[in-house]
This record gives sequence, structure tokens and C-alpha cells, in this order.
Amino acid sequence: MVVVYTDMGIMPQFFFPEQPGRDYELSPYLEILREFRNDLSVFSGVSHPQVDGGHAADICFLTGAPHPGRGGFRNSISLDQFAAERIGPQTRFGHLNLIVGNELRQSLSWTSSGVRIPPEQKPSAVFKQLFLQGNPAEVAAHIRQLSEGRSILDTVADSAKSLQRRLGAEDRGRVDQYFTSVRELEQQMVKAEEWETKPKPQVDVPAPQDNEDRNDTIGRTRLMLDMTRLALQTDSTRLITIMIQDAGSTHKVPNGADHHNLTHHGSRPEVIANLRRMEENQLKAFGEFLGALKGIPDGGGNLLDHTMVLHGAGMGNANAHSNVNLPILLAGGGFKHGQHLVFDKQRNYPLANLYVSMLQRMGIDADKFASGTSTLRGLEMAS
Amino acid sequence: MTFTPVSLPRFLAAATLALTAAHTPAADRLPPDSSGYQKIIRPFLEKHCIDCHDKDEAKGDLRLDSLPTDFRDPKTVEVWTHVHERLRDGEMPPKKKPQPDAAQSQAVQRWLAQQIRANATRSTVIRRLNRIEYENTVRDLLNLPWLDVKVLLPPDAESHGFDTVAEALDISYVQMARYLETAEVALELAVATTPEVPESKTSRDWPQNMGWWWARAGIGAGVPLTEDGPDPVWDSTTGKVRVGTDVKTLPPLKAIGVFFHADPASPLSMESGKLRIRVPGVYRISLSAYAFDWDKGELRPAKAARPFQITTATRSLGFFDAPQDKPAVVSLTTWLNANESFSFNPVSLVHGAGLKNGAADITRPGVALEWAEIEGPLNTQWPPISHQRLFGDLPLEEWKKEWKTDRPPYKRPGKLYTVVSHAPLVDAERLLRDFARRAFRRPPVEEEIQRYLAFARAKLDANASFEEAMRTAYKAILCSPDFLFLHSEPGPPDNYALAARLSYFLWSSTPDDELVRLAADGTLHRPEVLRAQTERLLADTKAQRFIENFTGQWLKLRDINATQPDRQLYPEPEFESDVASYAIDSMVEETRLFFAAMFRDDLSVTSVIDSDFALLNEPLAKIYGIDGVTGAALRHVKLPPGSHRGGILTQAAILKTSANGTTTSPVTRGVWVTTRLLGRPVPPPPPNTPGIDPDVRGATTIREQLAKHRTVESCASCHTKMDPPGFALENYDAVGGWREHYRVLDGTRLNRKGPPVDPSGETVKGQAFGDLEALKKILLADPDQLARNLALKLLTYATGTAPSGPDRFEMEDLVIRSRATHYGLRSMIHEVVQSKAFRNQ
Repeated sequence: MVVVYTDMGIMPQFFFPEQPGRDYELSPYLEILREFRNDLSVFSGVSHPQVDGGHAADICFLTGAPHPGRGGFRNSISLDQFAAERIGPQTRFGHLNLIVGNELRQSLSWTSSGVRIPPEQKPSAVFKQLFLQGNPAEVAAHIRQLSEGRSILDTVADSAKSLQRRLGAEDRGRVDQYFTSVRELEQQMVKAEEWETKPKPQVDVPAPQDNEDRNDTIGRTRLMLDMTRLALQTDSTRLITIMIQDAGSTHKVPNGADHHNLTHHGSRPEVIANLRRMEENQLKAFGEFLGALKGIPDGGGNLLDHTMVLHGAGMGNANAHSNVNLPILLAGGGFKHGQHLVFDKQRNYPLANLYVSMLQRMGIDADKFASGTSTLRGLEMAS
Repeated sequence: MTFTPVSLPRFLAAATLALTAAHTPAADRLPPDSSGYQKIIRPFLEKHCIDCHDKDEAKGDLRLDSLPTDFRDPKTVEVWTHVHERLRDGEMPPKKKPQPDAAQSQAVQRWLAQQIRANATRSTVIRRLNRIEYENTVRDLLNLPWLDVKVLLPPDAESHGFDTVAEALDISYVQMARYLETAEVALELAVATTPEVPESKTSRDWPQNMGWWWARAGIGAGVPLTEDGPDPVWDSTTGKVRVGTDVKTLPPLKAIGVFFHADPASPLSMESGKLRIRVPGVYRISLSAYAFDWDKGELRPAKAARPFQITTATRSLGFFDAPQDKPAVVSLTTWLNANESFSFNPVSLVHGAGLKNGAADITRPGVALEWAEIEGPLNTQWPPISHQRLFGDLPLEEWKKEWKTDRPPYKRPGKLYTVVSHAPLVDAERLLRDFARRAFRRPPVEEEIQRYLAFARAKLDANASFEEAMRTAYKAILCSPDFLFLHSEPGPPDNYALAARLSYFLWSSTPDDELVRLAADGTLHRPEVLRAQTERLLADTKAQRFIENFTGQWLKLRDINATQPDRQLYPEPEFESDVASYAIDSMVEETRLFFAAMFRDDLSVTSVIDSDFALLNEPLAKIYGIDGVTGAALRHVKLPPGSHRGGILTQAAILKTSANGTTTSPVTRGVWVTTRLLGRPVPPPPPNTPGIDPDVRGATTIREQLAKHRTVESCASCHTKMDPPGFALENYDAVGGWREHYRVLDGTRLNRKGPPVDPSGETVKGQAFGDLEALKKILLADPDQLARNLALKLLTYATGTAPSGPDRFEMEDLVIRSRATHYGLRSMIHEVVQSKAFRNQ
């Protein structure tokens, strides 16, 4: 499963097709993805109920936790982490959590206690992690570090036990959470130690050069999607999230304003035109990625057939900062695609039902997730 | 849930209860007063409240027909406190409904107050250090003021407006993994890597040897200068430096002057072989600069001092003035990493890359650099205090293969030195005892010492070197719950926990030796001792952290850069992206200094709304349209009549943060003022409420767009509460400037005289106002409201919990007492510290 999220919204008038069903006419943006028409489904009238707050909703795209903008908000587990807890151990890396952008404040991936998992920004670091085998001394040093880490965790777990005895009932829950954190990290370290001695897969491409141009969103996105493709191709992980955080980037348009400012277009036609170019380029890069997956043979079909690729944004209309009627499409992964599934635009259908469908497609026995209580109506598995 | 009266007699007088409330165990608390409820409350609710707040309507998700009356349950108390406050503030019943008889309402409030006060409980709340506190704590613990580890930790969530609130400070394996890493970073920085103090050097260089400066002179974007005019290497016919001039053969030039500010494509980097540093450390950067005016090849005295900024690639090191008459030396001290260079940005100059025809026939302002110098690494003592905190006076020796221990795994550019001990277990115990005491903010118990000592011993037994064994044990201490969490021990008031609470409140960090000493001798909780310590902490430079963290969240200053001014609507040169930080950093500095002045001078909390002075520098004065303020330093300025300024409310930082760079919304700003400055709750928008689609083409104003919304009754009930201050602030644009007309775009052309602004409105209580000045008068007439809000916000920040019902009543008493000190902020901070809510952790 791959999730690509863009944090500046997508202008609805260019995204959504008008007609429902299989015979819909391609919208200007879907026109860019024309060759994948039968490899994807597009959804209207979906959103996360009670997820509001404009930009605040970014962090709930995969969690569906209500009211991120309010005091007392607490996030919940994200779709990828929920899946990683179940299928993560099958691959060297349980998940990859990536980000393209300048501010790097956000993340799509959240733990079960609602803590942000910091995403990786550098394609070179992703490459190194996936494919570069350390020399024996480095491997030994890493193993030493992991075992030292585990011995520290053992000791602090003892400290937590003794603290636990001195606390009142209300406070014990917090120390329990500390315990759980220690135990989870220990398990990860054990697994990392096991993998450390096994050789990493080899790929026939040079290590990437990181792109430091803060305005080159498209170039940076392409590079990260390329790392994503390599990770999938080598089955290094099966769960990848990519947040494209685009405030502060002009997409290298000369004298261009930054993407965030353009979304506050105040209905100015020439600003909308600039914004449209940015969004089109983002979808082109996404199309190239789908094309690359489709071109890789995989077990009788191609890699796209076996990979669900979700593309979306947390704002239905960034000019008004609204969090309803989200622009969502799902490609690949062995569903009966090729349709525009339309739900109620006034009373949106829960997006998390799509997540339930996706979890089940990964063989995970889940009949609900966040606000999702069933699979998505009308989306069927291919066979 | 249905209402089931519990008939138990009331057996204690309320007056006694109020005094003994804070430490009353659950079993002794006031049982439900059923007869009082039936006699006083129920009839009132039935007459005035239940119509809307019953199972059919439950407006605001509040049901009063079935609200339990057992005030021993904290949840019940919270709801009744809310009811009490709505009555007290006259917000309920709504204006258009029949109003209750004042005496009856008073009786209801009195009864509720008694019940709530009588049931004060406060349980210990354990809370994790947030990442800012973590960084400060490690900095102070190890005396590493430049340690930079916050960025390695995931950002913390906030609750009730602050990231100090326990319930939002979860912990997961992500933090644990990062704590292992940050501890490693801190320890590596703390230890001395050589027995000798690293040599400190001073080297100076001239701009002719700095590539970017010389290049400017080569394209006419700058000129080489002597005392009297252009240096002879400058060619007055081309307006540029003579082609083929060899820098190496020139005597040092007096200076190079530049005409444009720096930008990423053309930085004024002071990079040169002589200024490159190879050893990371603390350095003093000095440079000599001045302002000049250039008139077609002639040098003239500048009309004014001109500001410049010193930056590294990642951070601003400050703003300074280049004086107008003669060069002045500016110095600053900072941490620099190996090969980290710094740049010069004359922020008041215009944008530009070069001049095609050179500088021969132009007339422009300029800023000149004479030289730059770097001195360091600066070490006042060796080994540094950070090393001594970990290893005392133990010697450092070069590691030798002959030693039977493993090679310590540290990467060192030269020889590998390591700490040695001839009595490892004795030294280890002594050092761990001292470190644990500091790290845990209390004396460690023997079991703890033995645990960490056993851990170090196991490492030694496994062949680790002494330093490595100790560092691993220190790492464990820094990852232990006793370090990462603040909590108090059960039993009598815990003075160590009180010391920590006070220091995390005012320093965002661990208590120092004096606080710990007062905790140890058991005197800290005494009112006069606590008061003296509060004074001491506030006077310390570390109180700057309180100002930054409290205002950063209360006033949302942390979000000031969430949006940048739209360049079409705000084409003013000061908001150009490469120099905007001068104006925007100044805005934040103004609000912080203003808040600092409030507590330093014990100014009234009404200063939030209005003041007769402002703290300004040149860019702020320009935004505010106030003459006669020059230079980068902020200073006290008496506001002229009709300035439209005064108070925090109209500061540019607030106005910018509450807008989106393009447009302003009375709703957003109204909510901002209502919740943050007045402390009145605003219900969140109902689900699926569409936002307003802003339109800057001038056809409709935001007010007209909102008008439609406000006529729908379901919308109006909330909007009449939250919009009014926002309407009054419509006279202030998205960057904090005053406006009487909206700026609109006719196509791409900016029209500064779009539709007129209408700042009038009516408060929720029906008081009409014509503009902000009139609204200010209305707000100032209720200083209790402002004081109450600030007291509650301070208490939430300081205690890490949302104030409970009884806490809110205690703050109410505080507000009433603060009338006597004219609501002075410093007095109020003292009151908060002295409150039961603060002291009984």
C-alpha cells in the first residue's frame, strides 16, 4: 500500500468528474491520468466525519481522529501503522514514512498512543537504509548499539516498576504507556538485530542525490516516488506513506508565489491559473509513478496490480479551508476499477470505509477502522 | 441518565468547608445537598434553562434536566462550574428570553459556589517533559547552553492551549528511540575529548577576500571604498571594478559597499579561508560596518543608520545597525559547527542582482563592510563544566591497545583520549549519585543508585572502558521515567516537586541548586520563601523561556510564519521574502517585550487591551505609521493621539497571526480575541459548515458575505458572541497596518482604495460600538474578565492540568484580590504561585 497526500488541497472544479459510474467523462485533472482510467477509481462525497480545522486535518488523513484543531485533541493510530502492527514483520522494514517539503512539521503516520512518527525527508537516507550494506565493522557497531539500547531499556523498565509502586492509581496509566513504549522499542530492536546480519537486496541504480531546491517540489516528489518504487520492487516494505508538504514552494515558477499563498486565491482567475499548473504537475508526477509500477512485471501481472496506491488531500477546497468532499482516488491493488463512485455531497460518506476495504485487501481481518464500519460501498475486489 | 435525588443531610457548614477544601479526602467531602437543590436550583432550571437544555434539544450538548448533583464526582463539578460561569457572566439565559430575577440568580450562584468549592480535589498528575523542556533541562543539567536536540524529538501535542498539559503528553516507542539518541548527542558534546584546552584563535579578513563581496563589486552591485570615496580599483567609466584586478596584490581595501540586500541566489556570505572554522564550538563573531550614500561616484554621509542581519544558513543571529557617520563594531557569540559560515544581509536595501551600467551614474543608499573577525573556540575553563558534571576531576588519557578494555566507540579526528579511573566502582558510585540527584530533581533512593551502579558494573565486567560504562549508565538515567516525568511523591507536600513546578513554570527547566537546597531543608513551601524564589526566577535570564513559551502559545506567536504576506496585495518592500524576517521577527519581539514589561513593571492586565505606550523599532513604526523611530533596537515610545495602537490587541504580531497573509476574517479574529484575551468559550462550528470563500476582487466584502450567515438563527447564536471583536479589527490589514479601505485587485492591478471598512458592531450583551476605540472602552470596563482569563491561562500552563471547578473559584478569589493591585501581572503571577492549586501538586 502506498499513500500519497498533498497538504494544499486540490481544486475541486478541476478534479471531480461530473457523471457517476463507469462512463464518466474525464475531468481536466483525470485527463492527465487517462491511461490509468481502468486502473483507478475516483470518489466524490467522501470525507472523515468530524475531522475539521483546515490545515489541522492533515494529521488525521490516515487516522480519522475527530476535531484536530480543538483543545484536548488526541490523535489515534494511522492506517499504515494499524497495518504495520499486523503485516509489518513480514518485511525488513515494517513501514516507510516519507515526506517531501520544507517545513517537515507533519506526518501521516501516528502510533496507537497518538504520537507522531517523524518522517524521512532525504531520498539518499531512504536509499541507504534500503540497499546499502554496511561493512562488517559498521554492522558490528550497529549490532553493538542495538544491544546497548536493549540493555538500557531493561534497566529503565526496572525504574518504571519502582516508580509505579509509588504512584496513585490515576498516574499508573501513564507509566503503563511508558512500559509499552519500552517493550515495543525492544521488540523492534530485536527484529532489527536479526535483519542486520542478512544481506540487503541489491539494485542496479546509483544512490540518489538529494534535491535541496526548496522550490522544486516536482523534482523532489519524483525522487521520493522513485525510492518508493524501488522499495516495493524489492519487497523491502509493503507500507509506504508520503506526505507532500508544499507551503513555501513556488514550483520554480519565476517570480512565482508560494503554493500556500496561491491556495488563498480569493477567486482571482490568474492566481487560480497558476495554482492549476502546480496541481497538474503534481498529478503528472503521480501518473509517472503509476506508469512505472505498471511497467514492472510481478507474479503474472504487474506491480500496480498488486499495490494499492491512494492519492488524496485533506481539504476539499483550500480557499475556504473546508475539510469535506475530499479529492480521493485509489489506483491498483486488484480492485474492480474504472469508476467514479459518487456519495452524498451534503452528508459525506466516511472515507475510513475505504480504509477498511484496503485493510481487507491486505488480508487483514478488520471490519472497522476509525469511523469506518464496513467496506466501501460499490468497490469490489477484482477476484 | 435520569436524575435521582440522594437524600443525605447536610452536616457541615459551607464556610468551614471552603477553608478545608483542598486536602479533603474523598470520603469526607460534602455529600449531595438534595434539599438545597430541590429548593433553589431545580425551580430555577425549570423556569429558565430546561426548555433548551433537555433531552429533546440539549443545546450545546448540555442537558440540565438530568445533570447529576453529587458534587463529589469531579465530572459533575466541571459541568456545574460551566453552568455557574454562564450565569455569572450573564450569557445565559439568552438576551431574547425572559431574564431571571437577580436575587434568584444570585442564590443559585451562591449555592453552586458552595458545592463546588467544598469539593476541591487534586490528584497528582504525572507529566512528561515536553521537548522544549527536555532540551532546556539537559542544557542546564550538563551546562550545555548551545545543545540543539529539540529537533530530534517529535513535536508534542497540546491540550487546553498548552504543550505543558499532562494529558496530551503521551509517550511511545518513537520518543523512546529518540531519547536514546538525544542522550548520546548530549553526552558526546559534554565530554572533553582532549586533556588540553583547544587553542583559541582570532582571525580577521576583508571583504575583498570574500568571494561574494568581490563579485558584487565586479558587477556594479557594490563598490570598493576608501575613507573619501571609491577606491582607485573602481573604474568610474564602467562603474565596476577594473577587469583583471588581482585581489592578492591589493593592500586591504577600506571597505566594500553594497546597494542590494542578500537573497539565496546572491548571499553576502563572509566565507573566506581565514574565517573558516574547523573545530565546532562557541565563537565570537565581530564585524565593522557603516552606512553610506552613493551619488554617481561620490561618497556622501548616510541620511540614517541602516539595519543589517547576521545569519547562518539555518538561523538568524540578530539585527544590528550600521551607523551613519563612522564604522562601528558589532559582536555576537554563538555556537558554530565545523565549516559553518555566516552571512550579512542589509535588510533595508532593495532587491537586485547587479547594475548593467555599473554604479557610475546611480544615486543610492548603501551599507559597507570593513572587515569581519572570528575568535574561538571560546572556553572559559577546561575541562568544561559539562565534563566535570559527568566525570569530576578524573584524568583523561590516550587510549592504549595494551589496556584490556574494548576500544571506546567514539569517533575522534585525532588521538582518542578517554576518562580513566583507578577505583572504577568507587568513582562510579560517587559520580552516579551526584548525577542522579541532579537528573531526578530530588535525592535518589538507594535502590536507584544500586540499579544504575549494577548496570555500570555489568558494562565494566563486559570489558567496556570506564568512560563508556559510565556514559551508558548516564544514558539510562536520561531515558528513565524519573528523569522524563515530573511527578510528586505521595504523602505530605513534596517540596522537591514544588521546586520543579516553580522552575518548569518560570524557566521551562530543571530547578537549580538554590531551589533544591530550599526543598531539602523543607522551607520552600513557606509563602515568603516561595515569593522570594519567584522574584529570583523572574529576574533571571532563563525567564525568557517563560515569555517565549507562554506567549508563543497563549497568543499563538509560534504560528507567526504560517503564512507570508501576499505580494500582490502587499507589495511593500519590507515584506519581500528575503528581508521579511526583519519586520516579522520585530513583531514577535514587540509582543514578547511588551509581556515582559507587563510582569517586570507589574502593569495591569488591562494593558492587553490598551496602553499609552508601545515598544517599537523602525520597521514596526513604519507599519504603524509612527514617525521618528529609527534603527533595529526596540524602545519605549509614547503613543501619539490617534495612533490606533496600544495594548497587545493591536500589535502587528497578533494581527498577522490572526490573518492568512491575504485576507482577514472577522470570525477568525473574533474567536481569537474571545477565547484568548477574554477567555470565553466559543463552541466549535457545527459539522460540515462551509468556510467562506474569500474574494479579493472587491465585489463583496467579508462583512457582506458574513451578513447572510448571521441572519440564519442557528448560526447567529454563536456568531453574535464571537464576531464582534473581529469586526472592530477589520480596520487592521493582514500584516498589521491600519486601513480604512480594503485593498483589492482589479485584474492584477492593486487598488488600495477598495470598498470602505465598516468596523462597527454590537457585543453579545447588546452594547453597540462604532470602532475598535469604542470596543476597547467596553472591554476595559470589565477588568475582572481579563484578569480571570490570564490567571486561568497561567495556572493551566504552570500546573499542566486544566483548572478544575474548585481551582476556577480559587482563581476567582485571586481576581477579586488583584483589584487592590490594579490587576498587576507580577502580583498575579505571585498569587498563582501561592495558590493551593499550584502548591498542592
